[in-house]
Amino acid sequence: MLKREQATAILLEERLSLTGFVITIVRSYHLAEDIFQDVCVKSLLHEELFESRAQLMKWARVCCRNRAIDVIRSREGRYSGLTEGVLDSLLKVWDEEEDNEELSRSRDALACCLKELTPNNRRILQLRYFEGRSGIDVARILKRKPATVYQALARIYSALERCVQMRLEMSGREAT
Amino acid sequence: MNDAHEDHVPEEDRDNDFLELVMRYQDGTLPDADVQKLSELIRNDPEKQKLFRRIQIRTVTLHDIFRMDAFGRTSPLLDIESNPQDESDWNPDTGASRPTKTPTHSLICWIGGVSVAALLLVGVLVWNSSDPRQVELVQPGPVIPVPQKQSVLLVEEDRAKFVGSEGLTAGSRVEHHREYLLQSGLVKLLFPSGATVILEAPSIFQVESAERLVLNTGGCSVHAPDGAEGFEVLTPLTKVVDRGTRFYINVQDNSETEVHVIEGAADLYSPRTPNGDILSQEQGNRPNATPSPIRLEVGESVRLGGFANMSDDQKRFSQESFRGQLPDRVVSYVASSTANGSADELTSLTVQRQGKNQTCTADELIPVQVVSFRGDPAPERNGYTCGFHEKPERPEDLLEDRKLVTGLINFGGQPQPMNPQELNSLRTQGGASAPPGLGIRFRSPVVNIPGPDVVLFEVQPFGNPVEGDPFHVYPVSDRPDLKSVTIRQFDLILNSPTVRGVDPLWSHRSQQVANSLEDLRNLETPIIIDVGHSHFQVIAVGIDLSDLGYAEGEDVEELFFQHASGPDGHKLDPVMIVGLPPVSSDR
Repeated sequence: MLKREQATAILLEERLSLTGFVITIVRSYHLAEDIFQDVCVKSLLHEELFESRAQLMKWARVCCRNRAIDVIRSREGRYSGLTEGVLDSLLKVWDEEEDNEELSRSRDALACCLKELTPNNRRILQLRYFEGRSGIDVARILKRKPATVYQALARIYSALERCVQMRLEMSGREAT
Repeated sequence: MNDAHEDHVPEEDRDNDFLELVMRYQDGTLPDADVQKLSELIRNDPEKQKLFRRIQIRTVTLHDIFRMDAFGRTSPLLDIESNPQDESDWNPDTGASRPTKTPTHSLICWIGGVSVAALLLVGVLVWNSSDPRQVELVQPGPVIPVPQKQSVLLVEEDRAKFVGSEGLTAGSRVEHHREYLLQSGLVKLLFPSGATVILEAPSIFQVESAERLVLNTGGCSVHAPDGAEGFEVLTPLTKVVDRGTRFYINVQDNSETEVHVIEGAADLYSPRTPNGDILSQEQGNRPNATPSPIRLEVGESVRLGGFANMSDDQKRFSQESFRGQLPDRVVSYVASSTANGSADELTSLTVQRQGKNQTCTADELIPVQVVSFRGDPAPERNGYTCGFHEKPERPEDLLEDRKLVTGLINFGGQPQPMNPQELNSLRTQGGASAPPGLGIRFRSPVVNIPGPDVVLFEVQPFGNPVEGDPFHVYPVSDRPDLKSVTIRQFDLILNSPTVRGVDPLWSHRSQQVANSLEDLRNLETPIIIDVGHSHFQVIAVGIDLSDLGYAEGEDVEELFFQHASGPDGHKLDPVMIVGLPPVSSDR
């Protein structure tokens, strides 16, 4: 049995993973964080203790999924994201993939890689991921075509991914 | 970052189309048909499912890193002084960048970030709060880029509207040799030498070089500090050359030109005309005289092209015409976005107070508590509440939260303001005597200082008054020295470039009249309509408590609002009212 503090600690460890699933449904970082916090509070109020990490995480993911869809329906009248069947498939992938340690290490690598971007590429990411603007808004601000901005976002993502993988590989070599 | 590692090319690089689809899906701009297509792609391909998961987790990690960076300022990721217009080193084809020095491994940053996240969450858990709002972190202020060599920037604007140059906003580079038609409002230009020019509408101008402005019509105030001497303004009738000074120029439609020197000196040269030299004519009708400059000293003025003689003109020197700065006002706000890109919660607000910009995070603003509400006597066909599809149990939350899409709207009022003492007497009596309107109390007192002290946000649809709905603000006090103020012009208006839209916007409608907060809570709202198609924008205005008669430094705890429209006029639709904190010395 997990103590409540242990359950809380596990949810915190899994914050990025859970928020990453919620954002698939709500498509807003702030809203995803709100929902993650709701679920954390709900886990504390859960009458029965969780037997294992796996049980807790399965419960948390389903809870996040349902809460996220409810919130979107309440705000927008309907849910119009990926089909619920796909969400179920993704739930399984989120359950099965156990690379949280790598994801955790890669956060640091990603932070370093961000610093190596050009100011303008960072500006695009800043507008999109910090100010929460859509690609269309970013295009308007930077006086670019939306298609150019989405291509840039995709390519910046790829470049960052390459950089992260390279850094992880190098740190792995150093460790051995 | 270096791109020359082809042996490490991950799967994602071969999936740019998929990546683009995901990027569009993430911000809600992917059409429904393409969402279906994306669903199919993911459903049928386990590798795509894994890739999608990785992208989503990387995405929240990016959000997280940027936010932690803003919170802790542990690394300079947020380019608050970068030039958004300068795309010279952006390679959209590769997303690649110039190789730069690899920074030090930032473990402290990571630990700090996780610790803060943990503290935030533990705080929520410990308090077991019913309000799950995320603590908003420091947001960057408006981006005021450092001017590039030879570039002239529009650094500030106040309700500025250009004809044919809608994209020119604060932070934009002003093109050389392009004629700008400023239809309304004010703009401030910054020249590379440090000279600043404030232009008033209506005006027609163009930047001819890094040191020269052409003013065809309109008013402009020029400040050329040390190092910017020699800055020139060309009008149809004269060339004004700065000699280290502040001066004001006004060119009327008929080209008649006034120059007032507020500080230092300025030389006036005459451009040659077919009929001779205008300046020479003014000096004594000597068309063939050698053009020599007229030097104007501090306190002197001249009018060119008119019939008055120069001595008369000098009597009309006006120091008041010169604008040293744009007026105190709400400059901009930043809001988080919903999945479809519309404004969600206010995250920060920038207000010019006492001539200086003050940026406050949402946490620093003083929230309000709704203490009274009463509609007009007739039922309100547009409803009293707006926001999400579901109405909360406590409608006051709609105004008290940080959401810019939720509000308490269409409360009562009348075109002319009531006597404040009489209104407060009726408020005290309450019940059927209570006046129509909205009463609010600040969660902590707002200290009155010069400039805006309170900011009101309103949702305004396309088709309603561009400048906002008029309203009265009353002090809640019996003091005879206090008065009401009627606001008819917002600071950020419908066509301000920085305002954000809200969509969807659900309007809750009832046939009943709300005479109190209790009525509002119990109101049946059988009709709930999404009115987002009317393109609602969130506009804002600052309220200066000095205008209500409060002394500087005085605490204000409550205010009362009424609409200022006739029976069929547009009533106020506030979605947020906040008090501003005192200006701290470190801002």
